[in-house]
Amino acid sequence: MTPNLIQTRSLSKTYHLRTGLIAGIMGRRDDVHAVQDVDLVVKEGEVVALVGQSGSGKSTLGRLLVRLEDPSSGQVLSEGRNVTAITGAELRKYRRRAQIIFQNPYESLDPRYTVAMSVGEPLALFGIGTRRERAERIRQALSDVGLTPVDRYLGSHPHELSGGQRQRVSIARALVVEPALIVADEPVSMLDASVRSGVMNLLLDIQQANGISCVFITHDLAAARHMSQRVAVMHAGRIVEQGPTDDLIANPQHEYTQKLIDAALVNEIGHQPSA
Amino acid sequence: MTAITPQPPTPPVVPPKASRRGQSQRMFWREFARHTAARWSLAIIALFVFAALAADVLPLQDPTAISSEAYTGPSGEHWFGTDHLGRDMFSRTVHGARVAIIVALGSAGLATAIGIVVGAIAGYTGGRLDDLLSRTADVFLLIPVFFLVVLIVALFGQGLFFVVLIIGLTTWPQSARLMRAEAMVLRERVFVVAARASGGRGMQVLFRHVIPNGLSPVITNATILMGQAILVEAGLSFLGLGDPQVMSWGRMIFDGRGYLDLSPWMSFFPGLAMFLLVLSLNLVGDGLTQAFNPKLRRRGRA
Amino acid sequence: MTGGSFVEVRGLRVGYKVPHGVVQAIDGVDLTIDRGEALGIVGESGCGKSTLGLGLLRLLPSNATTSVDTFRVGDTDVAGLSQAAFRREVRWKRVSMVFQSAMNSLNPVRRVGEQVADAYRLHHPQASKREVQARVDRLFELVDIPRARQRNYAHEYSGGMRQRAVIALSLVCDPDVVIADEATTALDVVVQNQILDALADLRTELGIALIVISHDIGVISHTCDRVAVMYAGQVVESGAVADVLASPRHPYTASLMAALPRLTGPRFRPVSLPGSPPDLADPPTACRFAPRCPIAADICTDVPPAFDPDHRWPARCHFAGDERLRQLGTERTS
Repeated sequence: MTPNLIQTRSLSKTYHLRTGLIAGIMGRRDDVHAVQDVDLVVKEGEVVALVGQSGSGKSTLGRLLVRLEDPSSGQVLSEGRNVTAITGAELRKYRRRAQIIFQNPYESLDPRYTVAMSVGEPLALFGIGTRRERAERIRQALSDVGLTPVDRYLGSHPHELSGGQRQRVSIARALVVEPALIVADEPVSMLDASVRSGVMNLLLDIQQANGISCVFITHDLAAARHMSQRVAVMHAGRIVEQGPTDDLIANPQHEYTQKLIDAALVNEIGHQPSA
Repeated sequence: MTAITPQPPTPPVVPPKASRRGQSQRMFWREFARHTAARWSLAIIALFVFAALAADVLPLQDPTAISSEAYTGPSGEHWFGTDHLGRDMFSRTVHGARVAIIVALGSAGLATAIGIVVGAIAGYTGGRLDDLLSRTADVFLLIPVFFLVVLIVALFGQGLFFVVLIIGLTTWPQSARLMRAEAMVLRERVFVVAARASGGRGMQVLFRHVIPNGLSPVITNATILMGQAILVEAGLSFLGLGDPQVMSWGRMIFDGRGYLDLSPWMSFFPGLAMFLLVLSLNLVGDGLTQAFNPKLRRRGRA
Repeated sequence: MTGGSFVEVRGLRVGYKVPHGVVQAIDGVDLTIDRGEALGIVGESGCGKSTLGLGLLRLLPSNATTSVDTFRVGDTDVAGLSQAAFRREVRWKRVSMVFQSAMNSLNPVRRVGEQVADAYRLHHPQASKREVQARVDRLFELVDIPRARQRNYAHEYSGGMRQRAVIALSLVCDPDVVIADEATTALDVVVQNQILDALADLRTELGIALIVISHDIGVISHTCDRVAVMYAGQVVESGAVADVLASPRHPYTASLMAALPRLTGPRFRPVSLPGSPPDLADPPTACRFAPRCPIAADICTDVPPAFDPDHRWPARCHFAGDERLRQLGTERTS
């Protein structure tokens, strides 16, 4: 059996929002349960799609997995080890194993950094390799994500690149430290429909070639179907249904899953919605 | 039906156009140059800087040479006239630029550097440390800086560098506030979060991403701080608290105040020079604000 | 009504002056739409879709020059109107727009209901308080926002509700034509469908001619009656959605379709179109799509293809309807 790469045990994240001065004095708070009691398993080399609407908590869960957010309760286990409360050097070591790609390619790269600087930054921050080795790794990563000829892109700034190219830079940036897990948080939703599949295919190819596990966060079930072996459907902070992708789409058990499927079918070309 | 994957032709490579960084810098200067007053001000400042650097090698009369031609008005020989000791006011005014520039760069540079670090740490870290740093800054903002400086200088000495140091150490809170506001916004920006995810420690993220991306308002503010510093130093000199070893415009105005009816140019020309330089610095600040935020101007006009 | 469609646009051209020449962002576009009909404009970023919408409303920046031979809405040709007359009589009153960024279209410090009222008063300064309120109530009812929410600020709305409010704003003057420019792009699928359905209902209910601009051909397939596919400033294929999306005749249309992952049918690997649209300051002289086309031949780089207006769904391609396109775009659901 394939071992688990990452696992969560009743993971929860609650944000406390103070509603205002008076309410704050009165001790009244609005608690937002962004993620509630989530048990999720990602096996080695597997792609799990996390599907849900905006506000369902899927992005928060993604950030919890890479420990960019601290959980309110529950555990995150990585290869059997509890990484819920690690800090400092240990946390940095973990982050090298668990990378994240963000949704908005227009925001996720420092506008002042060249492509080479952006892709090389994790290497520098993690203290990986000599200067020459880093340069070689940067070139390799860029060529792996299809930004070739590499020399053309090394010195470019984000504003000179298209959304798809920027997202490729983000993938190269994640890839360059050889992670075991990549959390891809809606990596294509801000891109033109015509370039989405290119970025998705790239993620799949890289994931398969390197045996990387991937959590693919999306609101689009068709994209989830293309990417994943398993799907977890999130609604209001909870996973309401999870299972093998094809089964789940063919035979949804939860009404919310059905709702997502119906929504996706409406835009399916050639699909005749039953009147 | 099986899917047929067509062989796509080799993608036409769209090369990123050559060095757009250069282009964005050009855009910055074009936007700056649209501000006519700022353009002229920059030229005036350049003139003052040149005067400060070259005062010793320019064919000027000796600014300290005492002669019998005291209280003369502007003439072909003494463009700005002479003072009560018969010294050439033009030469003295040109030399005075040196003190002004030293004070401007030194004080504003120090204040800006402190402000950047304090503000960035406060805004990025948040919490208790932010409270502590912000309250400290507030205290400085509440105290009338000029009187504080007067007090310290009167008590502890009036060397030029001490004055520069004191002005710098008392005027940083404005920069800190601006940087803090930027840092609080930048902290949530995705590329800053991404740097954390890529293994960045707090200080690394701060110096790599937060500070460089939040500099523009602080830089703009620095030009205004420079103007302020010049005025504070001149004020000190005018009160007789300036460094007696240096030729400062404030000192010249101070010297001239007793002879205002007899030879007003003794105070007028150093005052005019100071007025021009401070005004130019403020206008350059205005131009920078505009160049950093081109939208501001468009909205302003619409 | 003079012959043909309710709205007719002929020869729309938009050029941007840039340092190294003129970028012909829209190069002779013709469109027709009927009342209650929805026309989809689809294409990648940089193909001129958004410029088209803004150009029709004459909302382009000052370095753009717009010319149009005919722009007829109902019985009036508004092509010849002066800028001032166009603003007074056409913009928002006859042709209005729903923008992509709902947050930017709404004033954050004014209640949403008041903003809609303001917009109405701007165009109807004589209206009494009661008339204004009645109109605002009606608009909120049309876009299905509860009356109580009129008192909320934009940030208290969900993304979908904000977009509905922006739609309400576009409807204040009972326009004949509404242009929705990527109106649902930032929303998730479920909310997106709700908005699109709301727009579809409005167009039949109010007899609006709707123009839906989107990069997502799936969105067009479900909302629109007809579609115009744009590439490099030109319409390369147009016709009924049922025809065009069932068997695209232009390789660009087929490529856009082949790029979409599907929820049903056999799993297949969607194919992204390689490269990006040409620089419109210097477009390819013959077929503009040729450099990226999977079926291009020599003729494509030598002779500009014609747009055969007699065909039921014309395509600007030498190989329009070629068999090879079936392989590209035929990953049909069964």
